[in-house]
Amino acid sequence: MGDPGLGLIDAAPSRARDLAGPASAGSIPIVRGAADARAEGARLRGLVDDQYDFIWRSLRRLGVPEGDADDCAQQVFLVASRKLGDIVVGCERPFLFSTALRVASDARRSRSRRREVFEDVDEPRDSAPDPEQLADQKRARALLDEVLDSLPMELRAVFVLYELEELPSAEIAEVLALPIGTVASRLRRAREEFQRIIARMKARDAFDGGRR
Amino acid sequence: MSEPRRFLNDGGGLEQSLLRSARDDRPSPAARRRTLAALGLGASVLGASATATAAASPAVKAAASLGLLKWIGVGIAGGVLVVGAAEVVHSVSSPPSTTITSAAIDDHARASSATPRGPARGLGAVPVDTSKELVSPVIEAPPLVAAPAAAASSIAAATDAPRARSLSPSPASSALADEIAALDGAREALASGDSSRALRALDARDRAFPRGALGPEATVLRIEALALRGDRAAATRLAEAFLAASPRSPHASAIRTLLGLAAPEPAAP
Repeated sequence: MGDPGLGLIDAAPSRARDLAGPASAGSIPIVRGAADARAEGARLRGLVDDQYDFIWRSLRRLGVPEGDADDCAQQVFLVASRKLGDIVVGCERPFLFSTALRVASDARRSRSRRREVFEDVDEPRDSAPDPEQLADQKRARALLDEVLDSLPMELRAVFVLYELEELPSAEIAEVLALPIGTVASRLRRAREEFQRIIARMKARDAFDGGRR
Repeated sequence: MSEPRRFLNDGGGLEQSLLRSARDDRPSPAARRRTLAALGLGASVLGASATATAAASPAVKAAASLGLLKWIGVGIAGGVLVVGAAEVVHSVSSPPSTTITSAAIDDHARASSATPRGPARGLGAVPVDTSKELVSPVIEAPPLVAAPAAAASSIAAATDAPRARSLSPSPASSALADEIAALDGAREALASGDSSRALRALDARDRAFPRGALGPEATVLRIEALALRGDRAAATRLAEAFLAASPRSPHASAIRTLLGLAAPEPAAP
């Protein structure tokens, strides 16, 4: 079930059931079925063409490791293909993003369980790298993952859409199916938390530097 | 309401550096192609037709060992399997039914509302009961990949086979991969003509994944298995329930073909 606190969108109401009675045999319905399949296939193809990059990026920024992002993106579109008839035209992006949130949350829980077994790492690393060191994009990207991992998912989603996708708040509200006031308050909290984590990292780095 | 200036453009040195590092986030073109292939959209989307099905068969066989891919692109495998079995069924079946009975709808309603139960009964006994072991809460429309499959799609799927197989170890997709593996047993049993083993495999899948993502595909395989066993009444009952719940399913026409069921009349304009 969706967690309304995350702003997830549950699957749209099931399509109307066609419980029409007996019908005479004939080829017309089969032809119609083929046309439907073609139309649905074309729509699905359009979804992948239009939204694949966005969903892949979102999964990464919602905490899916790069090595798993391809698989998770595929999972999102698999779900979309199964629910295509329920996705309201024009609401494809919110549906896909809400699905990506679920997939990312599942991946995050799975990763947390593995961490509990093998590691004891829940906080971002203690020291902040120098800006020069951040020229190393991979290191910076890994550090960003750690910082974002410290945000609750509902804040992280808003933060990622605003700060990284650079969507306006109104569009974020649409994607997350949230009131714009909720988006604004979550964004404010997410930015404060993000700055708090960065400040803490800087402070620790300064402390470690002073001791050296 | 004014929006705050983004850290990305107006943050401190560290904030900016971290956020800018995400600008390189982008999938490889191959990843998108693999997803398209897995959805059966690798090249082009063709419509449902018996000739397309026949043309797809070699590619489907080639994809039969691919693991995840063939089930994600279930229209490729499921549709062909069903149609492929049509001749077998017709050779042993009674004249086609042309009605969707209220009893069948009631059966489906009961099956839909059932909760997962304990170990399934043996398969030898009552076919109707066997079909009711299917406890998907709602029989949903399967992936839309192309009804009785497209040759081009299948070929594209086969081309991307190695990558698709690598999906199974992913934590996020492991449950799906396990469910696929469970259905593999049923599919292989059907391919070898062993309907009892196929039904046992499907019962096992239903117990392990009562709300699995591939419920419709499991239903299609169960219909086929029942039909292959010669239990037309149970196969028809399950098929009618499936068609009542998902009349627009990509599998619908193939199921009707398999059991000789009449297609519904198109809606009035």
